Amino acid sequence: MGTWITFNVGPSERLRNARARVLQSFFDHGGAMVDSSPMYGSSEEVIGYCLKRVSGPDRLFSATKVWTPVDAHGVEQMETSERLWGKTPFDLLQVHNLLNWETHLETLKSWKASKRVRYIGITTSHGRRHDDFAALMRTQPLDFAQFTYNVLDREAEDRLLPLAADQGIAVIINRPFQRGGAFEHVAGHPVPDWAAEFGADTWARFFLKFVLSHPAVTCAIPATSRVDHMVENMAAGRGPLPDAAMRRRMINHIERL
Amino acid sequence: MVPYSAEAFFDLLATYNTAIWPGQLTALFLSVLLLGLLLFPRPGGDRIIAGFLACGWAWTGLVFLMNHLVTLNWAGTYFGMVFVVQAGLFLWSGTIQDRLRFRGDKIAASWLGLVLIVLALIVYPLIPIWSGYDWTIVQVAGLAPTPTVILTFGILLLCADRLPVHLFVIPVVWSSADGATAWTLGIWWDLFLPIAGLTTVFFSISRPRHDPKPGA
Repeated sequence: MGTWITFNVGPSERLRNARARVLQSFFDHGGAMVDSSPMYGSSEEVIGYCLKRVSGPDRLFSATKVWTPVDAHGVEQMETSERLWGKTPFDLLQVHNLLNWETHLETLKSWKASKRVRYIGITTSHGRRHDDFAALMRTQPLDFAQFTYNVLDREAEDRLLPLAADQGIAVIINRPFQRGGAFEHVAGHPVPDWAAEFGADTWARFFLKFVLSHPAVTCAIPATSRVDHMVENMAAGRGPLPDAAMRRRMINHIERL
Repeated sequence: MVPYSAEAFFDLLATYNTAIWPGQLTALFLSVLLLGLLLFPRPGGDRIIAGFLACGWAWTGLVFLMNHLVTLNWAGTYFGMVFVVQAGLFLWSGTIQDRLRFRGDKIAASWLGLVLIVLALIVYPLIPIWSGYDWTIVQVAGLAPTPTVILTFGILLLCADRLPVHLFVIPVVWSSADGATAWTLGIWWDLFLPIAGLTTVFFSISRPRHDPKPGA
C-alpha cells in the first residue's frame, strides 16, 4: 500500500481515523507492505497513529525512504521515521528518487550490516534517471528496487524489470494506476468480457493484475483513501493472473481505447 | 506536485480557523478600517495601509504557512519565509520610507483594484459557503494566503505614483504557484488568484505612467 497524498492528512483526527479504517481493511484482506517517505508530509506520523489503532499490524512489512540532500540529515531523518511509525527496525529503507544516493546508500549498507534494517533499496518515479537507476541495480547490493510500471507506462519492461530479475532484486511498483491517469484513459469504456478469464471485473483489478502478472514484479503499492477501493485493490491479488498472451491482449485493448 | 488532497486541505483550514478564533473578527474589523482609509484618505493613512498589508503577509507566513500548512507540505516553511520577506518589503517601502500612495486615479487600473479589494475582503470568503461547504473552511484576507494576495494586487493597483515593481514580484510568483495548486486540487475559487495576478500585471504594464511631483 502506498501513502502518497492519501495518508497526508495532517492533524485532523477525523481523517486519521478514516485512514485507520483503510489500513485495517488492508490488513484484513491480507496486505502487509506499507510504503511511505519523509517527503509525504504527515503520512509517516499518520501511519504511526493508525498502527496503534488497528489489529493485525504484526503482519506489517514497513518500508520508508531517506530523502534529504544533506549528508548529515540522513540518519536523523531515518531515526525520526522510526519514531513516527513506532517501528524498529524497519523492514525496508530506500533512497528516495536517488537523492544523494552516494551518501545514503553507504549509510543503509552499514545499517543493514548492524541489523538496524532488514533490506535496503532505491526508488524512482516515472521515467526519471533510469540510466543511473539501472547502473545502481547492477553495481550495488540492493534488495529492492521501486519504480513506475503500468499498462500505459511500460518503459520499465525494456531494462529495469529484466535487470531486476537477472540480479535477483525484488521489485516494488509505484503508480500502478498512472496516478489516476489509467482510469481517465478508459473512462466511459466497460471492462472487456474476456478479462473475466483472469478475474478482472473492474478496471482497478484489470490494471493491478497486469502489473502483478509480470514475472519480475514482487508487489504493487496503489494508494487509496477509501475502504471500498482498498477492498477492490486487494481482490486483485487473488485468483488467476494473465499469462503472456493475455498481457499482450490487454495492452492492445488499452492502446485502442 | 501537490502532496495533499483537497479534503485534507479543507480539514486543515477548519483546524486553523478554530485555533485562531476570534482572530477572524479582528481581521474583518481591520479590513473595514483599511477600506475606510482607501475610500476616505487621511494623513498618514498610506503608511497604515502598508502596515496592515505587512501584518497580513507576516501573519499568513508565520502562522498559517509555517505552523499549519507545513503539516501537509514540508515546503510550508519556505513559503512562510517568502511571505515574511514580502511583509518586510511593505513595512520598509510603505510604513518606514512612506513611498506608497494609494490615492487611485480614475483609470481602469484603479477600478480593477477596487474590484479586487471587494473580491478579497467580501466575495472570496463567501464563495465556499455559497458552494455548499462548511463555513469553517473560509479563508479571510490577512490570515490566509489567497485572499491576502488578491487584496495586495487590488491595493497595488491603486498606487498613484510609479508602480512599485519590487512589491509585485512575490505576489505574482505566488499567484502562479497557487493557481497550479488550485487546479490540481479542484478548488475552483482559488483560480481567482492567478486571474487577478494576470490582470494586475496587464493593467500595470498598460496603465498611463506619471512620476510623482517633486516634493510630493
